[in-house]
Amino acid sequence: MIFPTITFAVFFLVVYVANWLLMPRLRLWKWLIIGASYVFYGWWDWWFVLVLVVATLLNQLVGTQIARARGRRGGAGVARNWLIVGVVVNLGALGCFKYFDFFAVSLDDVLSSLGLGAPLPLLQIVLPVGISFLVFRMLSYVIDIYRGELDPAPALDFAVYTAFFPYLLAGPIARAGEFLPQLTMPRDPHRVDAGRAFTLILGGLAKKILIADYLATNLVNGVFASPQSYSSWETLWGICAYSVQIYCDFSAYSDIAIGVSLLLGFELPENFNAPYTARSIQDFWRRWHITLSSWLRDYLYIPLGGNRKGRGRTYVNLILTFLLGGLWHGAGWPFVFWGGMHGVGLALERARSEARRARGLPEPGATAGARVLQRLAVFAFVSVAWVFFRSDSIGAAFSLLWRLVAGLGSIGSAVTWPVVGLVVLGIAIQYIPRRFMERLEAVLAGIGWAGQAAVLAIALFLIDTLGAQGAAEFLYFKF
Amino acid sequence: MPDDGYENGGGRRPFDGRPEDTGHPPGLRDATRRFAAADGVDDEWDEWLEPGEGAQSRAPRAARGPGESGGSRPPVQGKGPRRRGASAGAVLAAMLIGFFVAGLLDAKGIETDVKAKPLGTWRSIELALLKPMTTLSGVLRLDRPAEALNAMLGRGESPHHSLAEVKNKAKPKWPRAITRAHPLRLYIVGDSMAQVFGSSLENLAEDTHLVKAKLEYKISSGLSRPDYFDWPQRLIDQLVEYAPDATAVLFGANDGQNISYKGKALEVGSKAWQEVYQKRVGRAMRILTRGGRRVYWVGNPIMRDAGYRDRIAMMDHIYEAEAAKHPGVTYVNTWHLMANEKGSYAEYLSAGGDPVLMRAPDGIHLTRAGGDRMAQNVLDVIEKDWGTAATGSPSPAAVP
Repeated sequence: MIFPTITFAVFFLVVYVANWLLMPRLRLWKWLIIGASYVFYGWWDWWFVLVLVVATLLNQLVGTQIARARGRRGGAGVARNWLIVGVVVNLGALGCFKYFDFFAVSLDDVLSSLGLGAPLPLLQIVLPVGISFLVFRMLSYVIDIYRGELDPAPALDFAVYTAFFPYLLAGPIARAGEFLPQLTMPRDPHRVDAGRAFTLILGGLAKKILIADYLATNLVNGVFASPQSYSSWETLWGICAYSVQIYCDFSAYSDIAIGVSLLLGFELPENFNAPYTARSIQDFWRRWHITLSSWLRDYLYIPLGGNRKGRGRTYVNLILTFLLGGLWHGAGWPFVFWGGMHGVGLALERARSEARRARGLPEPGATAGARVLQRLAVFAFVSVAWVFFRSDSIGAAFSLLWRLVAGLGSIGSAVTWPVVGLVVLGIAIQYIPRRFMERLEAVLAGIGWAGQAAVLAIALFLIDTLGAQGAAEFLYFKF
Repeated sequence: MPDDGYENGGGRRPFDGRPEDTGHPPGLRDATRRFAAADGVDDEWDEWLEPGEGAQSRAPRAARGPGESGGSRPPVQGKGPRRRGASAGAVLAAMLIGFFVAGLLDAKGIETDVKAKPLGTWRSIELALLKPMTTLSGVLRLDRPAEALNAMLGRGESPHHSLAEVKNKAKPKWPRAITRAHPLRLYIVGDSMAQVFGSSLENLAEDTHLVKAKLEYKISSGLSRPDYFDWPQRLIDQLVEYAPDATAVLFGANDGQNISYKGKALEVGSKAWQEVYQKRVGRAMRILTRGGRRVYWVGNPIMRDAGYRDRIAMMDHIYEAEAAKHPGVTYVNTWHLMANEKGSYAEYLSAGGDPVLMRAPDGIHLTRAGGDRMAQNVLDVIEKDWGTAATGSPSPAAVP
């Protein structure tokens, strides 16, 4: 089931009513959310629900065993073993679903080049939607228990945390420590944050349907599928349009997920914060997919040693973290290359910053002009990296980039005014001051249910009429 | 205010950015603090993600409790100006009325979406439920804004061309010399299968510099449901407007569904269904060969799921049989090309000795490598038909 559909609207209305009716009876309410989430997930394939059930049972077992071992004198070793079991099982499941064929083919290539061709069986297993988001949540749960930062949740609460449908498919990656405490007491039915929820949901729908899907259909898909048919000018806009598309698509999902949760009485962490206003790559990663970057930092970068083991090791850790972050996105070398670009970019940026500091030079960006240049440079870097992220192979990405110089001459006709307008709009909305959005949320909250109904009706009508027919899936479902 | 037993308000003050209450659930705050202390976090520790200058974080730094590592996690919650929450009932009223009015304003658009669904009970139920909405919308004239908006966007019915116009256009000559100056104009058309296959063919063909290709595909379309997308009319329009020398066609992936014919729903695969489908394929071929144009009707590759595979095989047989009846149409079989050495479906096929992923996870669509494999096969047929060498350069006979 995907958000921008009538099916979801009907499903949500039913769940919403049941949610608030059953809220005072917390235990019953938890069963409702588990059931609703299973229906939501099983809408794709009932087999996926089994994955959720197994993940819940296994990680709850691991979590409770770790906590039990930690509570015993001399149980550290046992706790550690259980942690290893948890990490191996979760990563193993992810590996089987997502990476088995990738490694089998890569290994086969290597062996073939050595004259040792040993074909491995290739199993193209159907990937449960959003499995990596699930694995991230599960890992944070068992690791936090091992670290003593979290107590194991009651089984029912943990089942809700595993399956909560708003974030199930594409995040934000809510950690157990921030979600589970919200399950301990009923949410207040008199304090539904409708202003913020409606702003996020309608804004998300508009970003997804009016900007992301339009750009995908009218320029991006064509440029990436048949670069030879497009001029340099069209390729340049195609690359920029993809940067805007992926932001408007992915951040829309997060916004709608947060909005839907708010209507049910729950808070989820923010996932995007105007990423294309970033003035450095480091800044970009504070603003893009925040729950992933902070997850990578807490469970990968820091355990690797972070910046505590010397400068050289810091750079290695940054690059390694991002290489793995790239690989997380998909079993393919273009993703690894994309992660590598960001890792190396961050390391170089850090080296440059340290060198400037050593020479007593101030951080760049003192003038307005310099700040504009910084933002443009970061956008250009991120956009080039997205080309690898979007392409089928590294070779295809270079072919596309080559069109930037090889396609000079005719301008072509694919870059239309609506495309230009939406690319500019997709970037401009990130410069809207936060206080303006907060004001908007407050206004929407203040106009009462009749006013909200009118806003919903007009906005939904405009989004559906102006958008193309049919709903396209969100890009991040495959990760 | 007395504690009324609720977590997100009521007795508790919502998060408002004051230092004494981060608004984070206690579990998170404690967890963050413990984590910071346990690992000896220093200022530089989380430089990677610490909110930088200009970052518009929802939770101001002052909101963090003492000892917390700044920017360790994105804020769970945060609101700007404090505001009153709405009651769940009022929100429900807003949603119900909002959805209902939006539905009235866009009743025709919704009806169009529902009509595009496969014929069957669910579609009939949905259409029956929608009927009062569309009627009410029409009576109240609430369908006018959508009509005005669509007209403003130029989405109204554009005038169509007729088959007679195709004939009146300059006839393409076959065979003729294909040169860079006078490339072969190739129209590639189909459903979602043609998305990857078509762009592969477009790329490979254009690489020869002897072909000017135009790809047009429509997802979820085919020949079974002209009510969803009228391909025959579209083909006529394109023959007049684009005037191709030849067309490569790939349909069928969405055609394994019931056909509505003369008010009856014909069950997919039945004898009546096959007869009607065959007629539609024949008509498309007659349109595309009008004026002596060449047509390369591409059969679908083997599919993973047994039932679906059987239906696709049935349609491939129809294409092949109809192609044999229509001069100028060449049927290109790709079934075995995309099967393994045992003749079975395989995601990976050998390309240059290495296993290469050819199919998408759905067991239907193609990866880029799969698209290239099929497209190269079709391009070879086209080149042979037009007398250009397999390398892409014009054969001696074709060069003027």
